[in-house]
Amino acid sequence: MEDSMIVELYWQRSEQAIYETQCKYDRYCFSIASSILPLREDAEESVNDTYMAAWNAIPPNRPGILSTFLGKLTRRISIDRWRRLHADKRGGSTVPLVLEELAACIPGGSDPAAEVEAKELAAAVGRFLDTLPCTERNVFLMRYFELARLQDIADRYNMRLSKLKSMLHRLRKKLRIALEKEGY
Amino acid sequence: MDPNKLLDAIGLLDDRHFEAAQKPHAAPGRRLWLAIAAAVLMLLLSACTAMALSPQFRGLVFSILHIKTHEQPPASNADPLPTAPSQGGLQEVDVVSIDGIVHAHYFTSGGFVRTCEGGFYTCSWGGAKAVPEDAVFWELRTEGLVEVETTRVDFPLEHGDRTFRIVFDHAILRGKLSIEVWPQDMDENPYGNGWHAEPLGDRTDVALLTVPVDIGLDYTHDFLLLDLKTLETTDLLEAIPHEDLVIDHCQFTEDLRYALLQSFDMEKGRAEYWLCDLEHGTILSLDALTNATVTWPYFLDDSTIVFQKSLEDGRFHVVRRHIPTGAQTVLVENTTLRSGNNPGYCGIQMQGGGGAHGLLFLADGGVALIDLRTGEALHMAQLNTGKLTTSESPDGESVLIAYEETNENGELGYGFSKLGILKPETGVLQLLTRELSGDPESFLGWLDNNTVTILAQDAAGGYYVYVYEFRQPA
Repeated sequence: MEDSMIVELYWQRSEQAIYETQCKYDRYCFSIASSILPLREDAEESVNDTYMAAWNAIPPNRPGILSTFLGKLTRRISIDRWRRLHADKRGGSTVPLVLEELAACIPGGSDPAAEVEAKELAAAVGRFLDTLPCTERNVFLMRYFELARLQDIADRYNMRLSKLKSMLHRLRKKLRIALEKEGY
Repeated sequence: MDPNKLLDAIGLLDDRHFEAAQKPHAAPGRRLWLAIAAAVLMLLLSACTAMALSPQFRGLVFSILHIKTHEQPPASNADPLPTAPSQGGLQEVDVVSIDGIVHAHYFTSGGFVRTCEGGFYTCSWGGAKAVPEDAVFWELRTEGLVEVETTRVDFPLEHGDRTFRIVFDHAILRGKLSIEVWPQDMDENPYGNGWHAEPLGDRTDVALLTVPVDIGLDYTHDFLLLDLKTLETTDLLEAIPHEDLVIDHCQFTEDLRYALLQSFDMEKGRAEYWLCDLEHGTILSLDALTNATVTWPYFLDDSTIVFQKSLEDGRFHVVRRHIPTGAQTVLVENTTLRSGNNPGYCGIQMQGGGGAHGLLFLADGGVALIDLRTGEALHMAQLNTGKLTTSESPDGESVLIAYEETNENGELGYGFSKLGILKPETGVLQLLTRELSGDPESFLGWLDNNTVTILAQDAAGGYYVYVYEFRQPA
């Protein structure tokens, strides 16, 4: 079903919207959630929470790109869940690795985080993405938005793991420079 | 700075980054094919490569016939609308002729309205779990709205170790079967892990039932042919060895000779497609058959499939393949990179469910319509690709062209500022300019090759159905 039709079903408060969403995006959402949450039941719960969050968010929202809207919801819900579970030290997630990698992108010196809204930081990252070629942008998003495993990304783009690691290393370095230029 | 902040910020990235780049599960791993059952599903390939046409552009000249008078839908008029009926049903508000070219009918309803191929479906809205008894399909004929005999299917289906309550309404609209499925009991089937019913091609005597089958923590699907008179079911894939596949979706040719299965490979993180010969009980991987990664295949007709083939060097082709002979024709191939494609699309939009046309976004900023049956393309340089949305009529004779506007937040659904019908055979687009009321509009639909519909909803939840009949010049 066309995305606009699914969104319309949400607006009509038809539970068929959830069915159609699941048919179309269940595995996509699950792939994001399972990258963040290693236990299948945790990932499934996050996907289910995503549908409920979408149900509560539409209306009033009318997302232009439903896949991205759902992806963002799944990601946020899964990371929140991971943070709650983190105290229990349930291992196996990509999140600690990604956090470790992202720490290398953060310029030293003063910590302006308290003064910077997350949206402004997102805009800066967005401007950085605008400078990237298509493949590198996709690889960045797959790793740091979807939190996909390195091997999965390498398989997707048919590249060796060593090449992927090298690409990500360069991307993190570039991002660090870009953020430095923006005053972070 | 805490890397958690950066992690959270990446989650707040603007949608345009996902639109401009390949989406997270873009080729070769996208799985939009899941929902191809919808007749007008648009498959958007947002690859960042420009397209080159294998065939030459057609000599035909594309021309736009602008309709001078602008349309004002009734929701934007100052005059109060008639009181809508409290129950289901449509009430005609007005009929206007716009420059003698477009005849517009405006309807309102206080109940639940769906536009469907060939007509409308109305009922009172009894809540999420209730199935109202007053559901009716309608056709718009020369004498006005006509109620069409509507049949409800309601029976228990035992399948696997589960029993499903199958409930849907169906009717014959303009010679074709229309089905409206009612929401299922979500307490028993959390988050829609349920069944679905849809027409099978142009057949009016049967419906295609998709039924989930639990397999441990995952679930696959079975596909049943439902006889609408006897309610007997037949497993369409009974002869196909597919036990090892977790099937998400399946398409069938109308003659039930071939099927296209879509499974999802968790390890590879992408969908895989399988061509089944139902008569001989064989199943072949499309990847193996073409020695490439295949995405978005669908049946162009009972003996032809169209798909995208991704090559190892990053290029891709849109290919038409004759199933019995295996003869393949490359319809489109990408050549040069294109950048700065936001907000316009870059690539090809193909109609799912058997659509005959694809929309190409060219490196020079133009747009072209390609006939996937013949490979001929019509260059439509004058169109604004940033707002363009298209939909093909069910038999492929016409293409609806619309400009969809966004609200102040950049979200779609604000309304369609231009609406027109293109006849690919003549290259003529009749284009109507509309003055939007601000009420959200969605659901572009077809009644016939010359008549399209828009469904709108006001802030109070009232529905409006706008019908536009384009009169073709003699």
